[in-house]
Amino acid sequence: MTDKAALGVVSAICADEAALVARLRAGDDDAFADVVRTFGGRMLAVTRRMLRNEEDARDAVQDAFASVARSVATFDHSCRLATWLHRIVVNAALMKIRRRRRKPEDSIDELMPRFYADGHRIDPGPAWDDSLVEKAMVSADSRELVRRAIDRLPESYRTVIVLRDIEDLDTEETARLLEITPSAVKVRLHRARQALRTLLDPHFRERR
Amino acid sequence: MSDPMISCQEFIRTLADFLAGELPKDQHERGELHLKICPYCVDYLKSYQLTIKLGAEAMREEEENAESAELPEGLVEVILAGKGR
Repeated sequence: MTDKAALGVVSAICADEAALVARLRAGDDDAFADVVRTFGGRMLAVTRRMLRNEEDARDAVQDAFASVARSVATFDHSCRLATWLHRIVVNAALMKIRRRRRKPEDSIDELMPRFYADGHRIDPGPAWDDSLVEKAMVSADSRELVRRAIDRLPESYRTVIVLRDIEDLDTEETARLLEITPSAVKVRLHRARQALRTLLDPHFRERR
Repeated sequence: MSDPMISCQEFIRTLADFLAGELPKDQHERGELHLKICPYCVDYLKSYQLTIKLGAEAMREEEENAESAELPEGLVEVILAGKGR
């Protein structure tokens, strides 16, 4: 299916979302298949980002659709179908993360900025070069480098970056999903961004 | 009355809230003042913002690729077969 055709399908579904949900609630297998084929690719992208493991990502999408089938009666139209599906698949991926998080995570303290006793930063280093960053935005190799840096973060830090900065969830929603306080989300996100910045720094600092 | 000057450590500690506009007004103003006198923190703030942007761009590119691809047919079949279990 081309992008244009896919967009047409999604638009048609949006226009007739209530009818689609009604069919889903009635147990219509064709409606369920339409939802799987239309939204499944995007949902798999979300689980791949969160889990970084293809088998787990596919399992989480499968779990999410099982949840959709069980809970479609609770869909209350206060949000779009796509938003509801997004929440369900994020939850399914987080369940996977919780199940596999068994070993202690590495500390990221060494990736935090360091300070003298008077509060000045130790070795601030050169500023980032705008032209290098601009090139990175359009370079497949550079984007891969950034993804590899994100993958180097311990899972709890990578997860909060994905939920807040990539999936665009707000602090409260992220806190609810991660079962931590909003303050803890803020602290963890700030540390994660600082650690990622440190990992990217050698690639984007001005050459002197 | 609190000191109008803050250190780099204090500025960077509160940077996320500063950027999100979630600091109390007086603290935000102290952050603005710090940026006027500290080029290193100006650079840090800029690289912090670019880090967020680079991360989002890199991960969203993956999503765009995934959206243009369909869900693998084998997975669709497993999901449809599992409906109602």
